[in-house]
Amino acid sequence: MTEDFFVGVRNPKDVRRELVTSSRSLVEALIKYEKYKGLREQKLQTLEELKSTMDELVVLNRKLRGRLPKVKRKKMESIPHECPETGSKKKIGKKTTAKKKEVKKKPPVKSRLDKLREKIEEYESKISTLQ
Amino acid sequence: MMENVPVFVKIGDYKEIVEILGLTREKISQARFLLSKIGEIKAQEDAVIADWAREIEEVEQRVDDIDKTLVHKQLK
Repeated sequence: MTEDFFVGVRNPKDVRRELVTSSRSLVEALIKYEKYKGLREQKLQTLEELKSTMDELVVLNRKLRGRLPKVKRKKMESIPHECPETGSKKKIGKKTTAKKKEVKKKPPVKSRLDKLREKIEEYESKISTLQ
Repeated sequence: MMENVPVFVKIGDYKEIVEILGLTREKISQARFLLSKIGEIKAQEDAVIADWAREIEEVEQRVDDIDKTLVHKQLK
């Protein structure tokens, strides 16, 4: 038969109290988590609203530009581009056969972010022509 | 460079432009309101997280006390 050994706890009441208080604190933290979840949902909803407002603003801006009279922009002429190695002048836009092969490849699927970046570039070039 | 010549807009289009501008202004103020709301929610979220951190510290302190009472005192 094995003998049982016991360890004495000098103030068990305090230990129990501490344990129960810790449990209570942890449950309170869980309640706070529920509150946090609610806040996060609210934030996501508001962000969604903001996004749709911004989309509407884009549409309105496009409409506004559509109503204003069209002004012809000067087209970018093919500027002779000096090659740094040979010193010869090449026209931008001329493609070699090797480059033609690259063009045949399927273009990568653009994400919304890429499309937006392209739009920004487009607007920036428009702004620079208006300055 | 573009020439800075005056541009004339049809009166019908002009009215529409004014309407669109009004709507745009409305949407901008709506976006501003939503942004401030998001800021408020974010501040509340931060407060909850800070509360959690404080609570965890308290629990840790209690567990340390229990540990001291149950383990360390017995070893002395």
